[in-house]
Amino acid sequence: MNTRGGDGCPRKKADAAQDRDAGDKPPTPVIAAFKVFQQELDTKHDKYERLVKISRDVTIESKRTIFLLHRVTSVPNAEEILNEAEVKLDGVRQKIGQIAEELRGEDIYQFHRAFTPGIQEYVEAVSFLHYIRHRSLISLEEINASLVFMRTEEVGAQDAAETLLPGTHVLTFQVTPSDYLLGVADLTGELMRMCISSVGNGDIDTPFQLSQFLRQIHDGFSYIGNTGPYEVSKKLHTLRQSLAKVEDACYALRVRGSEIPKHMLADVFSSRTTLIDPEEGVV
Amino acid sequence: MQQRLSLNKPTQDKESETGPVTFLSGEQYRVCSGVKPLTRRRKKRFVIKRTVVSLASIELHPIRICTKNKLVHITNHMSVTEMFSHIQGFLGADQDVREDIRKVVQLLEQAAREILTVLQSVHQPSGFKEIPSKCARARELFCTVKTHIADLKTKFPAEQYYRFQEHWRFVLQRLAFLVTFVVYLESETLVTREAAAQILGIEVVREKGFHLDVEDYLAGVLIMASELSRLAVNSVTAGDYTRPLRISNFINELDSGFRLLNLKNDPLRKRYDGLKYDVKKIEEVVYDLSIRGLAKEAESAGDK
Repeated sequence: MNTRGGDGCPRKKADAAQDRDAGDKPPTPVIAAFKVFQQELDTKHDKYERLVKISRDVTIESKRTIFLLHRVTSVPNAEEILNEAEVKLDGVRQKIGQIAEELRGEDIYQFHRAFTPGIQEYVEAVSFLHYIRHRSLISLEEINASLVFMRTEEVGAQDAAETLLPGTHVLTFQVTPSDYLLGVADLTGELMRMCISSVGNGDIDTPFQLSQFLRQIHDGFSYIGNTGPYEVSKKLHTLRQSLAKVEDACYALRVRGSEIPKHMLADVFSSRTTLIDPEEGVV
Repeated sequence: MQQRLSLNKPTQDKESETGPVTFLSGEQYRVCSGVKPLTRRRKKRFVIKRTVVSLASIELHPIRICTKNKLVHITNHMSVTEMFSHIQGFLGADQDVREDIRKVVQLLEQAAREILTVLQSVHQPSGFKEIPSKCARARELFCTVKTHIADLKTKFPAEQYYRFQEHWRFVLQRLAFLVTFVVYLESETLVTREAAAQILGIEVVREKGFHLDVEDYLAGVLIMASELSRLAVNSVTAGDYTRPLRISNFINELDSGFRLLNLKNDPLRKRYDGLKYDVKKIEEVVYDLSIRGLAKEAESAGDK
């Protein structure tokens, strides 16, 4: 009947015959079922990939915004930079709107791993901008409030202003508490860099403000402990190092600040920071 | 619990209210959101009214709240400490849900082990004759499984299946395997995903509720393939020389089916990679039988 143990020519003939037969005969129920599975899996994987691509764009643009915001300390016209950053983040929000569009009708957690890196980077960028402007921590609610998107149908729907129109619908993207936490944890690294660079520019107020702020954030994370996502515990370690650097900077300013002329302060800190963390590398 | 939210600058509408507003838990409020349209050229604000059911959900939704048709603009003035405490609330609630889920999953795992014990015994030489009764017993035990899963469904919001999936994924795959195995023993066919879900008392389509994810079903099928390669070997030992051939046809068809899938480098792919060893093992059993003419003997003995 079905002895497949042959070799060489007999086997090839048998296989070819089987293939021909498979083409002629209608698919068995098993094969038909697997064709359906193939489609289901392909659809899911395609959506996942699309989300990964959008998430990468979000990450890149958010990172660029952060680099832009670091220039605030060394440039006289900070407002211009802040406005430019706001424009960039609006672009990022558009991308997040695309993510929301892809996730419409889906269980967001099925695809969460696809877009979580981008969202964390966005939280980092937007909270950085918020801190520079307001010297406070942006809340999860405020972040989510700005991630509400209107999708209107074409035909002149945009002219009517204050009423809910048929054919318009609202799309929201909700950042999860855990993504918010992870983004804020990464923010602390950027704040630490801002602290060190602001000292280098002769700003001796920012380090003390930052120190207090970072300490509050650190205490917040300690309170959360390991009830949060496990990545938080890893980032807590880096957070402690950042806080230590900032606290050391404040100490040095307090103790040595009055002795050293401003233009030499930068040298003091560049030597101290290289001592503290040789593997930090280029920002 | 009353919560005071202080107000920020009033909105552009004349009807806005300033001053502190007290929100009461359990009351209904209208939530209005000022939303920037996607194109920045138009500076108009769209206002959408939505009714919010509980105070808790207000915290997650946009920042404008209408009370008695007055627009009120609220921003968050929580300190860093309060914010973390607020987040901790979410995390704590999440942990509680997961704890509840874990307890039910333990019961499910227990039930799965019982079914497995019943079915394992078919590998014994004596077990082959008792296959129908064992399948019947297994089906009885699936009722317990149904009960536990019904309980599991109540432990979390239905639309967050994938948020907590990792807790039950393993046991659900085992259950899919057990269902597939029972149906094979009964009818030597592959149970459809729909039939498998029905035996477990769950859905096939995500939107309808707690469902059997296609990947978990396929994982169960692959586990069964390994079990079948073992069954082929043991059926020869027990003197049944025709069964391995039927198993071989079945497995080869499964293999053809799986070849149609475009799998990613995930656990399912790794499990699928094991299928070829099962195929090979069964082919070897069939080969051993056929060169010794044992299969033909058994067939002709059956014909007489």
